[in-house]
Amino acid sequence: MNLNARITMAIRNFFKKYGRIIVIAFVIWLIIFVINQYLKNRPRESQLINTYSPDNPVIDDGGSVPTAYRKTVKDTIDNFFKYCNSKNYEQAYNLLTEDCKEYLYGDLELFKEYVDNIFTTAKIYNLQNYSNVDDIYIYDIVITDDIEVTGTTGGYEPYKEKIAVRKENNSFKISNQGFIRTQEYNKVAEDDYLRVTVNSKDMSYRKEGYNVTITNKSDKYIVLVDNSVNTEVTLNLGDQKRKVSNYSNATIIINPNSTEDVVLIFDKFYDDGKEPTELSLESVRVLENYEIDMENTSGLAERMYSFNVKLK
Amino acid sequence: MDKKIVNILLIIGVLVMIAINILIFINNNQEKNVTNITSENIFQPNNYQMTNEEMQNKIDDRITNMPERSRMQTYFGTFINYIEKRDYENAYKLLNEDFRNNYFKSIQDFENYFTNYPKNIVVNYTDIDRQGELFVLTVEIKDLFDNNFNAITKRVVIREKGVNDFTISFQVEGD
Repeated sequence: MNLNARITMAIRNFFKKYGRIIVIAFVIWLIIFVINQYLKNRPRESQLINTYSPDNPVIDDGGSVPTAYRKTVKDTIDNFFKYCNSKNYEQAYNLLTEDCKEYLYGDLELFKEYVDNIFTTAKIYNLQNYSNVDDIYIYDIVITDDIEVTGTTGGYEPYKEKIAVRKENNSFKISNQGFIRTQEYNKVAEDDYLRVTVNSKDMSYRKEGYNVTITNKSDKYIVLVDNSVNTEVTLNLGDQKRKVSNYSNATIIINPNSTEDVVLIFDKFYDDGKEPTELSLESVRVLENYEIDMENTSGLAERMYSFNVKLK
Repeated sequence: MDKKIVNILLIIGVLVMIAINILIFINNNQEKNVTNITSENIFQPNNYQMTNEEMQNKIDDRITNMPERSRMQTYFGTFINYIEKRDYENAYKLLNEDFRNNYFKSIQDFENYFTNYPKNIVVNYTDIDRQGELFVLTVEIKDLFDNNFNAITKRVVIREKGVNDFTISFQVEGD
């Protein structure tokens, strides 16, 4: 047999013996090739890594803004912003809640001052949902110049505040500058010397201000705050007591048979989940006589005791 | 003997084909995982001659996998690269339209603004701030070879509209 014939025979035998394996190997190769080509040429999904999520609350204990409300809430803020930007004071003012108007501004003139102070030029804003409690949706709003147009030429000073949106008379209204809402209380406590009425409290995101009327029913002087003792007025939050924060350089002294209205402010985050249970006048001092700058009122008091007003 | 040689050759042939395909497959996947890149090696093709579409896909792939900070730095890198190459037309096209109309009504105005910029620019990114969908970068521009060059500090505002699709504004005058 010549060489050609032997080679032909060898190839024929080879394919007879390994033909199946070769076909299987070829099919595998073909599959790999097709998959490879598909992966190479498949349409590209361009999903950029993005950390901006304005609808996800920073503090998520209270959940998110309900999807059904999300657009309306944002539209309300957007309208408010646009009215402020265009100095349409009255329409912007009408978007504020009644308690916000009363607590922060009193009348349109003060609101105008606020707007003129912030909206010195055309501004833009961005929102970040911060926290949602009791159907009140709290956002961080950052207001800046239109930095895309200016490139920050002339300065870059973002102004930030908290803005809350809630339903009032079936439409969404805004409270701004960190103010959240006013809660009516009308809680009264009384003894032989004092009658204390907690009328209401004004809640901002970081603090609560209690509007309190204190009547001295006696013919003695009553010292509640003169910073001569460690603890004078506290707010009981169940697991802790907070001291009053706005009387570190002031006094509360009620003259005989007279009444004083005071505002007692305590540090407290609106969304901390704590419910105040009691307002305490921890060191009520009853004195026969009182003179300004008198020291050691505790030592001179004919009676010293604590007085509590239940808030729940 | 001959039969054995032929068998071995054929088996080697099949194995080589499989190996080549596996290699191509692995290479393809490795390219997708490379994320740590500079604007230079994105925008300068290597020896392999890619089509424009392949090049664009490759750039988009890499940018897509970058975190935000790197993307913003890459975008500003593109802009400053044009300035460095004195390609003002392409740099001008990247500007936000209102910003352009505000400060640089013509390319000539834009070109004049960069007269004093160094020929070999080094950029230090000193800060990045986010305002909603805008990014505010603070950059320091230096001359690579001239230590006496007074560094220029600028804020740059970038809006990303999509993958490698962005507009730029920048602080025209100092504060």
